[in-house]
Amino acid sequence: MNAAAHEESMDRALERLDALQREIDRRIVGHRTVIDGILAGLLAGGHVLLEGVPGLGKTLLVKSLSDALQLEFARIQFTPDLMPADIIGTQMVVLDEGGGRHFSFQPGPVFTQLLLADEINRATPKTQSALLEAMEEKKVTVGRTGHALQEPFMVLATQNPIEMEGTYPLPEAQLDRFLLKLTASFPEAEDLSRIVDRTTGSALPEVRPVMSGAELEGLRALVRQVVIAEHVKGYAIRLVLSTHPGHPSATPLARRYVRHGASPRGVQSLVLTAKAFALFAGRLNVSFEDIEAAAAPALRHRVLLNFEGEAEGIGTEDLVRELLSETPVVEGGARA
Amino acid sequence: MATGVFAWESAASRPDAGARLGDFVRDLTRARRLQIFVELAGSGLFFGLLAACFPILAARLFELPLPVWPAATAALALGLVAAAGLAWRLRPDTLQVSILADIEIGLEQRLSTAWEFALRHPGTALTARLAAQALARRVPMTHLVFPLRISAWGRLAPLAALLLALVALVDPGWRVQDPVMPVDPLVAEEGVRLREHGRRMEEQARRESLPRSREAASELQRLGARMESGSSSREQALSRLRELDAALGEERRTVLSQSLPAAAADLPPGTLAGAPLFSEGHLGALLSSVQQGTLTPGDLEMLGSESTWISALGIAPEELEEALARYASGEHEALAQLLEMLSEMDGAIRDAQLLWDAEQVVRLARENLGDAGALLGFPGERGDAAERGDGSLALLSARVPVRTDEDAGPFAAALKAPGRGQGVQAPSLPSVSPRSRRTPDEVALEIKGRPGEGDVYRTEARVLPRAGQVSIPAALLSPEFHGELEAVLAKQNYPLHQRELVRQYFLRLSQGTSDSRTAKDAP
Repeated sequence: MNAAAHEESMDRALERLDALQREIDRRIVGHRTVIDGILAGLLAGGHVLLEGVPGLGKTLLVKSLSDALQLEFARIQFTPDLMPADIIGTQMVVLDEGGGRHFSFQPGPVFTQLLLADEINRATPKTQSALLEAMEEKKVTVGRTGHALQEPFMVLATQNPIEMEGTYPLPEAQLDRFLLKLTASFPEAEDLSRIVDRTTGSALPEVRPVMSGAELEGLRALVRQVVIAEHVKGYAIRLVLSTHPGHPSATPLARRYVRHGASPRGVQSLVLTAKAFALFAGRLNVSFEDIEAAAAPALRHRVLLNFEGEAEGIGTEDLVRELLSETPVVEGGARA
Repeated sequence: MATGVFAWESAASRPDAGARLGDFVRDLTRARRLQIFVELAGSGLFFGLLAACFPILAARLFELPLPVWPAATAALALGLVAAAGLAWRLRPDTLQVSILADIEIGLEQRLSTAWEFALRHPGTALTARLAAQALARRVPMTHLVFPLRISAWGRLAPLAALLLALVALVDPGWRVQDPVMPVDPLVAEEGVRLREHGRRMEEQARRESLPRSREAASELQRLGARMESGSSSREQALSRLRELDAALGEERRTVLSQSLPAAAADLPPGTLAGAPLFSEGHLGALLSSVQQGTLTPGDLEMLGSESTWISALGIAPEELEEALARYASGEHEALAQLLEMLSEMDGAIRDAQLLWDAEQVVRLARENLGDAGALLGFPGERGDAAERGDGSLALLSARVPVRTDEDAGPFAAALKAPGRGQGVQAPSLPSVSPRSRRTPDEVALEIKGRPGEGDVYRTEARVLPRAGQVSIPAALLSPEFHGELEAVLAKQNYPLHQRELVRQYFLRLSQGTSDSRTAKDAP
């Protein structure tokens, strides 16, 4: 393939990404940042935690994504009585053709490519942690046997922030495994009008599959090819370090209200998401704006507040906002 | 999926993007460096012009003999050179410029990323692709990205130039007085006196081989020179004079205690001054004659006649007589040892005499500079000298005619030696010198007259008054004092009861009824 053909392939990949966004837009109204975040998580190869009140279309969004992607899709409705085996599968005794009996592994719903973990915080921590290995290592171990998951694999979890009774907040270790945490906000009046038009008619808009798993893998590789300059990377690192209350560059809010700052996974998440955003913008390089756009979804669930912060109702959103306003883009310089 | 990945690294359609990126960044760098230089040059010009005002102002206000215009030009040049140096030190490299240009142009870090990648991975397909991406946006000319601009300080340079012109052309005639401390003429005059005395003392000490006196004379000259130069205030001079006074006294006591036998430690040098044996060089000549066995009968006679003086030094007359007898019998050793001992003692006493003279000069200087404590060490301070036990009284006695053995101190016997006069106070004593400046000649209590001149010698002495003690015997007080006393009391605002007390005190003195009780009652 010559150089021109390569560029053509690249353009075609970007067109696919465009098409994917268009297909989702056919069914989902608004939620631009949420859709971008989910797509960034998808292209960065991470998992996304989606938080929002019921009825905002979270589940529909994930379903639409799976329809557009030509990927295997599974949904698990997390409930308090859900057991780990209900997710990862179990060993069952089966009769073979000769009449003999032996154990056979029956895969659970986690053996899919796009997994919707709906209301994940309703399951017990034991069940929640059943997803840990699958999310981190893309495999499941049952007994002594490890079972690899099919690539691409992505967990899209949703949780309801207002119904706290009968819920089990996700442990920090599991939260850290989500590349991004997105918050779905309530739609504006114009968007509500369009939602009503689309959902109260005779038929829901159809979403066509526009991207295969292989093409998605190609795009994921493409994201990792996006170049980030040292000074831009330095900005991302300084942002993360500033969330640590003991660090000299910590912001005032972080010093007062933060118990633990973002982990090294936070920087990885920040940079990967920024690379995905750069790709969406048709750039081969990461800009400061990409980093800033990725900061909130990548860091908000990685900053742990102390008791004082919890008691005073400080949100990690406020912390990230202050972080962005206080940290100069160029070391030793002023904000651009 | 590999096709997509490789597609990004292809830049076949933009083969010269890498070279163009390099040219662009280098142009930007030159523009940025020029921008920094112009900014700093403006600041340097401003501060240089301000600095140029200083030599002109300094020359005007302080009337300094400065080469004004070369100094002003140098200050201006210094400002510009400093600005140029700073600009060189702060010159950004190409990467820094590309980062700044990204922000200035809004290229979303395309330029800096492409340039950084090009520096690390030159010649790759992705480098060219990034370069093409960076150059794809319409970029303004480099001089528009980093336009020449003048710093805030530089904008003030015309004002500084105006100020310089005003300073150079307009002379309001303001002058600043010399801030140097004015010379205290009194201190300087005393310094001259000290230095002069030190010089004479040094000459004498050198001539008579008196090392301690030479050293003290040097100190005296140094202090005198410092006071003369005006670099010392009166307080500083007094402080140093007190120190020197104490040091001289200590040195003198050390000389006497180390070189003289205990019995003769308080012997005043003046005591020996009238004796032919102790005239300058005589002892040495005698010693040489004794060692060579060429002593003449006249010398032997003279030695025998000096037994009183020799005994004053703690050597028994019998010892001298025995040594002379041995010499007559041909044994010279005893007499030679005796003369050597006498020679050493004589040297120590001469040393102490010079040190004592220096002390007197220092104390006089202290008094003239207003140091009341200086009087405590002056001649006539019997109580003080007796308390110290340092022989100062004895030295004083050698020079001051006293009337009683008690006043003469422990060397009264020596003073009564043949050929020595004994003076009395003149009946018409002039009024006591006020506590103002006096010269050494006025203070030095010299006996006027020559030994053997007559039975009665007329002497004149001046003594320093001291509160609570009778310095002048009551019998010698002039009745004229009464009238003066009344006149003084009438002029002063003394309370009546104290006035009467003073009157009674002086009346008792005039009637020769002074005693310790009345002395204590004195005002």
